[in-house]
Amino acid sequence: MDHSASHARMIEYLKTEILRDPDAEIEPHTPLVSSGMVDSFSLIQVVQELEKITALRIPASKVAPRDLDTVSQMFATATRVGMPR
Amino acid sequence: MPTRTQIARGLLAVLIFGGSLELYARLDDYISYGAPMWGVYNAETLYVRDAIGKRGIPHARFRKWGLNALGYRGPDLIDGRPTVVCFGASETFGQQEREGSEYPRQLEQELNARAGAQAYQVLNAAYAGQTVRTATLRVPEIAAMARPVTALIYGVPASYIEPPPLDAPPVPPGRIEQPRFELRIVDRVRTLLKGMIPGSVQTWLRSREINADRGAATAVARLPEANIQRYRDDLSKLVAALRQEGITPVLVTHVDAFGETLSDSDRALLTSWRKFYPTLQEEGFLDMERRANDAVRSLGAETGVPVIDLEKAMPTAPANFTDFAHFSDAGAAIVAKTLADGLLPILNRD
Amino acid sequence: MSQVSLLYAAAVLVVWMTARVSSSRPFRLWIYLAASWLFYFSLDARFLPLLVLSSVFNYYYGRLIRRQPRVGLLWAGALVNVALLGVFKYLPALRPLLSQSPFWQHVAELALPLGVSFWTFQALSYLFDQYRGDDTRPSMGEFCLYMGFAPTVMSGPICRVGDLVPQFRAPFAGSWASVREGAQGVWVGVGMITLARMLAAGHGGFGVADAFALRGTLGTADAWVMLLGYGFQIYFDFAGYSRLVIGVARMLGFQLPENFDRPYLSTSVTSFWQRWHMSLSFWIRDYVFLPLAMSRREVWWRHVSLVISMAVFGLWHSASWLFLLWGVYQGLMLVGHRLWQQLRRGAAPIGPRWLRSGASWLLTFLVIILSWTLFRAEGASHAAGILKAALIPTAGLQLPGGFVLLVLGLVAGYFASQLAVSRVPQRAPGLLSWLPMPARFACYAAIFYLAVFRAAEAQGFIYAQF
Repeated sequence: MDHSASHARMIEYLKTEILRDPDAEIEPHTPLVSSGMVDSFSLIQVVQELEKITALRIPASKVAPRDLDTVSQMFATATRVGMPR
Repeated sequence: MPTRTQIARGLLAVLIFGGSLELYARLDDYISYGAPMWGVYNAETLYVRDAIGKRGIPHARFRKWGLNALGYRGPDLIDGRPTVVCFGASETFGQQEREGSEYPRQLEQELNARAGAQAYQVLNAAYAGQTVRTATLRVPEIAAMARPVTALIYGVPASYIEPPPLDAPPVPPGRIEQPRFELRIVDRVRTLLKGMIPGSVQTWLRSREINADRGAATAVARLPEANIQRYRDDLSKLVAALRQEGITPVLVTHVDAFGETLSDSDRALLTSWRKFYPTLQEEGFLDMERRANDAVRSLGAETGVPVIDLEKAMPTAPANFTDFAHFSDAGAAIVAKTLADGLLPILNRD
Repeated sequence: MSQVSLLYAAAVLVVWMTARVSSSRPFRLWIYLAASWLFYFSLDARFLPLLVLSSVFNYYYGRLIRRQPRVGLLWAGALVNVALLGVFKYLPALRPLLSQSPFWQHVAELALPLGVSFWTFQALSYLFDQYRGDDTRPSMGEFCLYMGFAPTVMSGPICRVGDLVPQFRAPFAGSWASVREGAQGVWVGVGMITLARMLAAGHGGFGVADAFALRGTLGTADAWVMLLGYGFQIYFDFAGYSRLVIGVARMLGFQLPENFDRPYLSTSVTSFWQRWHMSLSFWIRDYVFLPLAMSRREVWWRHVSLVISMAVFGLWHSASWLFLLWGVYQGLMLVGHRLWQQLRRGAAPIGPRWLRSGASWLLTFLVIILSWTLFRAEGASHAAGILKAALIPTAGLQLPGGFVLLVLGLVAGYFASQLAVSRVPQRAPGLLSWLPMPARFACYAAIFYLAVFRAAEAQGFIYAQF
């Protein structure tokens, strides 16, 4: 899955499952955690979805919320610290 | 280079800041003490002047100093309850203690606690600056108003440092003259600055003031014996006046904040004491206290007046004093206990 | 205002001027570090060596973890820091259980190093971040300054290496604008601390501490007024202190993270914990909750992790059952909010928006105010008595009228001020910039008057004990 498709999938997930607002404007560089749009509880769900999309396991001890602040940062983090499942 | 507008704005800001502080000070006095928003509000508003001297206005109040119906500090007297009257000056009137913690109030609580009932009341007949002479002149009116059974005399030797005024013209009775306008924030700022300026600088400033106040007069290292004798004589007259009214007098030796050895902070404190009496050098004060208290003891022995030796009983720990001679709450408590120890046998006998 | 305050103000001025004229970054760094250590020394000379030792140890240990990012090493380093904290903070609480031997009794009487909870947590975040491969690699001097930075060393905000080190490396950012902005923060902070002191001193010599010293049957009104009094005292005290510290740092050209964001306006417990003691709250989120919650997939584990994290939050304050209970209570409230959100998902909203917001705010406010019982009570039975009075309607009012009026007046005044501020568009940086100049200086005068002439000496800064 290429970047834009995976970003789009994550953005769709955020709109429907996390924010529950299909009209929310989210771009790959929209701050999500620092803006308060995604709280820590929801971040866990986001990480689980990220693991599903990337087919990688993301060690909990290796990520900080600021590494997952935007959709593009999420995938960069997954590439950096993710391990094959 | 700031522009004229910036300078004007700056000056306006300072004016608003200062003006607001003055307004808040007045509002604070109004809310805290019911003081008038406008007009003068200071300690002198408690008094009028009569033929004898300063006299408290009944029910007057200035901050924590509230006067009763007789014009003396403390609650109103209750008819029929045995009364002990305290004569003295600012140490007795109360300065830094919390309201209700000046030693006459604590003495009343102490006496009643030991009696197990509200058996006694204490009249604080002191004013700041009152002398033994004016106290003597007040005896007949106090005897008539309060009918006390016993009187505690806590004389202040330092008021005998200066020679007595010679043929001073009598001050007409009436309100004490006040300035037309007074900034209330000034007093607060003065107290604040005192807390901020290092002690050594304050001592230096005081020394300069003392020299300026002394002027041409020579400062003596030892108070002349004649001054001590005057103190003794005036105490003797007060004792006689009280006995004439059927009141049992009790003398109390004067206590100060200084121990046997003087530290640097003690020396600074002595300078602050000397500010009020520039003609006696610092080393003369402790000698004065010792000799004055000896005079009190000898007067007591000679006249059969009981003497409560507060000087010997009181620890000179800094915690007991707020300055050279005025008590803290803790100090006033010790004074009250010591006085109660000495007073109860006399009261029970009476 | 004391000679010491003047001295500190003069020191800030000297540091500012020295940093401003210096073009050398290393020189500025050493000025800041010397000033910070001198500041710590002036507050508590005994423990400066401990702060320095902790800084040096954690610096080198962090470099080791970076070279060899093994979880065992990370846990060992974390253990050393927690042990340091434990010895000074938690051992005295275990005194009754310790041996009666002189050695253990002496250990139990150790004084608490100033700020140890705060700078130890900063050290821990550095170790965790190094394990995660964080880009920021401070020098020894930068790390020591990060640990002992004067504005934050005593009581936070708890900063991250990534927040401060880039600022240490940047050119001097102090300017007349930053001084003005920072000074307003200092004024507001002083004002808030003064309000806290007023609650401590109370009315007629009866303050919050006296309210909590009351025994006998408390009325419901008693319980809620004393809880409101304490809740606002601790808020004004700690938020005011944070505001002051952030203001001082701003004057020096530094941006510190916010620590409080009007938490009593929160409309949910979740929102409250994103607005109260934010630096610690986010620390717990980043280094306790998230790693714990992500270790398992199940949703119930996330809820358990939340409760455990908040329990740690409680224990950070003190090793007592009441603080632990307080943390667990907060965790349960957070879980409760989550479950409520899930329950309400998809359901039609009840009532108009203003009613829903109002009800949410009121419930959140009451839940939080009630929780201060566990934070402040002097024991389990005391807490039980207050909670019982608060929750079961009981007539009677032991508290003096003046104290009640003071508490309610300050609370009402606070909410009124927040309403006023919310309606004014921000014109320039600075908390009071929205006011016209005469009103602003009248405000400064009010804060100055209250802080200098009326602030009680009754009680020190509440959070200094943590």
